[in-house]
Amino acid sequence: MKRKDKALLKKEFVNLQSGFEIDQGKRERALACIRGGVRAKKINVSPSLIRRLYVQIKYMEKWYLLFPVLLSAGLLGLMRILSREEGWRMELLSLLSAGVAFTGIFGAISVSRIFANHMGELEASCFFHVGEIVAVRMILSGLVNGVMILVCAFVLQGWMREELLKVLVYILTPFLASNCLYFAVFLFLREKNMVFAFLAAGVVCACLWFVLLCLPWAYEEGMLAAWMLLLIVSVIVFAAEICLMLRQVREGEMVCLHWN
Amino acid sequence: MLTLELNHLRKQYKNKVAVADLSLRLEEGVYGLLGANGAGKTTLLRMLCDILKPTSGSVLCNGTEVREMGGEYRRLLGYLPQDFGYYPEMKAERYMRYLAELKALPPDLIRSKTEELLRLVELYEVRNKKIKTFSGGMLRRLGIAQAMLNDPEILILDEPTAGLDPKERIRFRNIISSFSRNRIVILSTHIVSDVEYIADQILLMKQGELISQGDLHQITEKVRGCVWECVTESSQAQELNERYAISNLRNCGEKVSLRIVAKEKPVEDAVPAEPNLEDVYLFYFTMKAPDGGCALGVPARPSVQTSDGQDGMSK
Repeated sequence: MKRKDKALLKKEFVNLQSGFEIDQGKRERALACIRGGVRAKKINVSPSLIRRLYVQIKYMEKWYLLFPVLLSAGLLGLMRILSREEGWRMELLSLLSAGVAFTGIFGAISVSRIFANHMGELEASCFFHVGEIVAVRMILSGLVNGVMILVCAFVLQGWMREELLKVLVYILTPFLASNCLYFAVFLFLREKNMVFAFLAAGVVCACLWFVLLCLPWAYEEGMLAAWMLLLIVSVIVFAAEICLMLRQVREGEMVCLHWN
Repeated sequence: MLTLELNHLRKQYKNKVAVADLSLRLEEGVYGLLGANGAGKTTLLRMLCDILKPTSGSVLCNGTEVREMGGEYRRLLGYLPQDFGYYPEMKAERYMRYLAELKALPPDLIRSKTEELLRLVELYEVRNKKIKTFSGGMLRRLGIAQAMLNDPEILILDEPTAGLDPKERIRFRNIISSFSRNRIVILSTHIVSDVEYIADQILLMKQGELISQGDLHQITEKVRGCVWECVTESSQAQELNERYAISNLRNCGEKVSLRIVAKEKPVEDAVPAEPNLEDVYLFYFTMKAPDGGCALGVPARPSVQTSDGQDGMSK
């Protein structure tokens, strides 16, 4: 078709169109339907729990997971040397109690970092909510610490020739009780840089558990019930702290307030 | 059509009411939220983002309460907080990818979207630099980019242009204007000119309440007759500056040209002037008249504005 014919056709088309009146209401409705259709076709991905764990492992600072491993490995090495000495038994337990009590700070620091950097508010606006991020970080930290505690307890019960369950109680109690303190620091201090507060709390806890060395009766058979009770109380307090923290995150208090 | 409805929204912190019984319907378009410090803008935006739980009232998205929608609502959302958070040790590209993961973007889209947005805000060249080395303007641009990662249908920006130079601000305005089609964009700012240029609707907030709403014309019409211009001696200018809200002051040789916001004629030779949004801002947020208007004889805090139109209005 020649250019001239094209122009003629176009002119004719425009002339014909001028006779039609476009119903703006219908036009808007049709456009809204099309937009709705486009929206409905949008592919939404809901990441699985594995994917969520993977994302946090990939992007979080690895030191928070590596420190407990390194510290536990160091403790095991030290205990191996000390276990060769005659008469060293309860000392090993106290040393390990102090060590695991201190390792708990890394989990608390990794969670507090979210809020200290004002990331909480931004992450609270994402599909993968800040509450979930906190939970995932705590799961990761708990997994690492749990494995390390199990390994340490298993090795120690061999050296001490004690029941595994009993050794576990002696180690888990200081770990959980200390974590209660760290999360209390986290919930109540809410300072921008809490690393030093956590370190101080960690040192205090480690010293307190190490002091048990001076109280030989603390590890006597009759005291096991007291240890169990302390363990249960620690679990309850820790769970309550986590619930309080997650509630504050969900309601926005922890995310928006106090951190400025 | 996407709608957001705010039903009697209220937020109270102990004795302080940050947002008081606010009801509003938002449809597609750009909304500029203006208000002085402490007016409740940030609290309102946080509740709109479902970050902060209201004391009472609700936010509905297409008729469904956003707290019930949870992740599905946040999927529609892009947000730039006033206190923009970042991990200082992270590199810009990694940070964008992290947020893309949190926004549940399909993995194959993350790389391309990150690159596209970093180029858009001119940060692509520094994508491998740690965020802690960024200037305030660069941080803000990064914040804007992350807010657009999931192609949000509701974009909420709290002080998006704070720290941007004029060229960056113009660029930002253009980005938002082109992005805003068929979306709800809400931006809170102290920089009046940003709102003036890109907002379809202007919302004025004062002490937790919505005191005025409308397009630029409707809003400025409300102060017609309250804006005056005059040229006066510098000694008299000083006196007027102490008595009235001055929206502009310019030296013209020996004399001084003033733009005054006042309900009645401030001086004999003052002539009425065409009101603009800055005058509206002064009218509502600087004047201390009991009726919320501008009254003669009421000492107003001097608010002298520089000729670039920014400092006098920004915080």
